[in-house]
Amino acid sequence: MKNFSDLLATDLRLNFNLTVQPVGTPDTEVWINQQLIHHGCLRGPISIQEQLPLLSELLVLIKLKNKIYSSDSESAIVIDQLSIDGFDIVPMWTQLAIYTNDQHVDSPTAYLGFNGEWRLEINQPFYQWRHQVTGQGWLFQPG
Amino acid sequence: MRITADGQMKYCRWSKTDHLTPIIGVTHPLTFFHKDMAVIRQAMLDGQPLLGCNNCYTMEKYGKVSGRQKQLLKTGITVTDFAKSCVSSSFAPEFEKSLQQKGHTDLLPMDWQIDLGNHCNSACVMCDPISSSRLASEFQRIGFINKLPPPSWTEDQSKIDLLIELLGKTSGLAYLHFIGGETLITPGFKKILKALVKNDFRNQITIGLTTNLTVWDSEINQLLCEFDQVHLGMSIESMTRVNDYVRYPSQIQSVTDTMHRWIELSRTQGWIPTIRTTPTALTAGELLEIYKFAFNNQVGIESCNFLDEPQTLRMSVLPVHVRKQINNELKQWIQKHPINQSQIINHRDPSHVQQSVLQDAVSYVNYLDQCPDETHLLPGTMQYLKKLDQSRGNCVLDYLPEYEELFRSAGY
Repeated sequence: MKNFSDLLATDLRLNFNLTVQPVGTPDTEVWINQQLIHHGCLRGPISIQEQLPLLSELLVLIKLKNKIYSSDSESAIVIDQLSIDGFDIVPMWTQLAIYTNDQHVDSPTAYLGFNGEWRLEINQPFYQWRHQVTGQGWLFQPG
Repeated sequence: MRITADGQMKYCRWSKTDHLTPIIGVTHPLTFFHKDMAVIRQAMLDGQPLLGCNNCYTMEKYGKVSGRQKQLLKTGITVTDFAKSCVSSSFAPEFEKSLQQKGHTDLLPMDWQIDLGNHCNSACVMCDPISSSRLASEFQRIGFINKLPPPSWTEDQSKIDLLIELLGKTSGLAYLHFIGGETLITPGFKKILKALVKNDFRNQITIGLTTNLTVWDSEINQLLCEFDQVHLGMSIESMTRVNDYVRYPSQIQSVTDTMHRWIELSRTQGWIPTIRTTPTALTAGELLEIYKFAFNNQVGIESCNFLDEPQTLRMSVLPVHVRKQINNELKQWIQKHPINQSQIINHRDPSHVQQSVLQDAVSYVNYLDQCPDETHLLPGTMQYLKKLDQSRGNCVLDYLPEYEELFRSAGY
């Protein structure tokens, strides 16, 4: 990339990495941008590497389902890593995700032990979002 | 965009050009911004390094956060992730438009540095006549200059009106940073503040100003309190009476008293106070105490660049053994504190003030370690100081006795 024309002509993408692993055999769904990546019992770690469009919004949804607490207190999904272009959202910025579950425990976590969903939503270009969540100060808008 | 003390318009507050640029009033600021600056925008879009940005490139070389990095960050662009953050910036469509229109833009400047003029009650040894009327008179008297610099542009009410009219039209106006001379005694400052209040910009823009800590003006303070956000720059070079010599003829006790008043007012009002230093060969050894003060009082610190002019006061005129000694003390202090490895560009983030202070100290350690040897300039330094001292009836060695041998050997 030597100038702005070159830059516009380059297909820049985000390097997305997600690793989750099971405790027990949790009934799991993993969604990335409305695409179902995994569905069913999670029997071992899964690692997802994707190249995402630079400017697209992002929704990561991880669901634990059908856990019966009386007979299975252990099973859970553990998010080991979620990073975008080397920015470690898990484990460093886990509080940016929303965890909702049937036990109403909403403290930030990467350990999903209850029926419910863990949702990370980025509704603007990733680099603008990162600027804001990391407290980089002003973000001027043209106008 | 910047207006200098004599009214020249520049594309950036940090840019350095060796040629004259158009004067406000002679050229309309928008003509400068839209037409003259198109060349700069085109060069940037073409990926060319700019000569005027050399000070920033030098700062980055030694790990100091540069003005370039700070300005880019305001549009969401980082140097470390340049390509991706640039394309992701909300300004990217404007860059593209500008590319198609040979550097033209339809935008208006939203971030300004306004040098109000050279009206100043100080005659700092590293300053110049264009920025200090007091120094200008002295330089003329002792023969350093033949004639006084042109009058400050803010003495012309029509030019102030022109600026205020433009600011009033700028819906996205975000930041105005004022410097002098001494900002608080320059009549133009009050006039512009009043106009901004009248135009109801109080909740929209951040006012920045730099003061030399010799003035306390309640009326101006009240005006500043009208604004939601103020960035306050406080100029000081030393916590000792070395400051009296360098920022002549200030008195350190009065300066530090005023600084504490400003810090207190800033805390009360939610402003962001920052110490603004201009480190020179005379104050390299004073940096440690300044950093300690900033660190302990949670006040940020910012120096515009590694001193470029006057050459004879650059830190690089100090011999290596002197620089090493200063560095050892700085390093010992820095090592007592854990340093965050990722560079903090937004040094105004209150939660990172101490890290930002440490990182700035590290950049000076790097500079003192690695800057080129310019000891050949030291005799010139001594000639300059001798003339100033004769004029002022003081002696640099009364303030910096540790340099007696060095200065005598260089001709003091």
